[in-house]
Amino acid sequence: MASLLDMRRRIKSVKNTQQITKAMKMVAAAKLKRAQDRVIASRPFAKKMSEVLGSLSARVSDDFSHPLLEARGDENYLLVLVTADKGLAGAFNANVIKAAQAFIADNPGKNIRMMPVGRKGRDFFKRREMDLTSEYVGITGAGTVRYTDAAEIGQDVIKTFTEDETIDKVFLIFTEFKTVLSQKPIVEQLLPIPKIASEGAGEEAGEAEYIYEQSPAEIFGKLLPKQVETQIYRSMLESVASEQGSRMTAMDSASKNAGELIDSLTLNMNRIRQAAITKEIIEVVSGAAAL
Amino acid sequence: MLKLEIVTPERKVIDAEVDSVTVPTLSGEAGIMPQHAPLISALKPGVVTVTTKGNAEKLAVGTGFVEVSNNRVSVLTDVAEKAGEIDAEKARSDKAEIDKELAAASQLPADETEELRERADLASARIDVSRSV
Repeated sequence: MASLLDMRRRIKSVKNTQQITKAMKMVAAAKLKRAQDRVIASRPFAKKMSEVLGSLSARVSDDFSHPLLEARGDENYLLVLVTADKGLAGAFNANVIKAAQAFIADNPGKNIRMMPVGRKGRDFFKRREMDLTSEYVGITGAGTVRYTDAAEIGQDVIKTFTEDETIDKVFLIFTEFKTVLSQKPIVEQLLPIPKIASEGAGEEAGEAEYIYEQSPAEIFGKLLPKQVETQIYRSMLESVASEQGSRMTAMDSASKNAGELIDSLTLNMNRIRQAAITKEIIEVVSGAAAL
Repeated sequence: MLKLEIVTPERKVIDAEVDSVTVPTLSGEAGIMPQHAPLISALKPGVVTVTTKGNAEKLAVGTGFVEVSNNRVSVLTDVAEKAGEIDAEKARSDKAEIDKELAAASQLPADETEELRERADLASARIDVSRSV
């Protein structure tokens, strides 16, 4: 049986661990709050953007073509995989990587390349010798995303897509933030941009006609790359919020488990202590009786 | 009065009632006053001037677009910075660096240097705005 000293040492070590997990939980909660605020702050832009794109797409003629809209073959895919840079976030990274693997398994015979955003996804697929076009690590580490970083990735994706004619489609895999407890990895087609619904085009006809300072086609062409950038930005924001949410719950249950472990260890320790006291009393009593 | 919204993907920079606003469109500066006709135009990096009760405030903005309808002006852009948020030193050194790159790339066709020129415009706009205080 373990000695009293051993038990004390174990309890102390579990307590230390609990302190760390508790601190990590607090930090994650604060970062989650910030990430959620950012998701909300990004909505007005995205909303306005899709409104204007919708009304523009109703206006450009059907034979309007743009490199980012053109459908090509269906052979070569580029996956943009958004994961976290850090671990200790429960099954967060595993889930989104699993979704990527499932996607690859669902598309046998396709030639798949990857552009990982986030260290965890990069490491995983690099080890499995996936063909990586370029990689972005260390940009979500601080728990925030800068638009300029997302824009850089977006421009890289667009450049890869337009210059390398062998890429037919670009998919974006990221984790959608629903609630703190529920996050879902999703796969979205990024390029070519799926047909933009010209919603409300009928109603708008009643409204005042816009003056287009440039031709609708020209403005449309300028906005499409922006749309790609905003989509990547949004996916990264959602991913960061999910990461922090996931870390928070993981660290919460880790702290709880540590608490339970401490309780049972303390119980055990007391038992040993009492046994030792009992033993000593018996020794004293039997020593006295022998006199 | 005009309702002005300047929005970037990261935040709402301005959401206020203003008297007039000037924006740098691709076809040149455009002044917008109340009762302006509905308009959509692409923006190039430059300076947005917002006038409220005789006070003019300047902001440096990146590429994007402006939409005007029913006395509402929405400016959507990558970056929008007020004078207080600009690091003038950095803007100046950026500008010098980009100018060097531009000089080196002067042989290239115009559409290949477009991005560089946009960055140069943004840096100049930042310098301009930081001087306005």
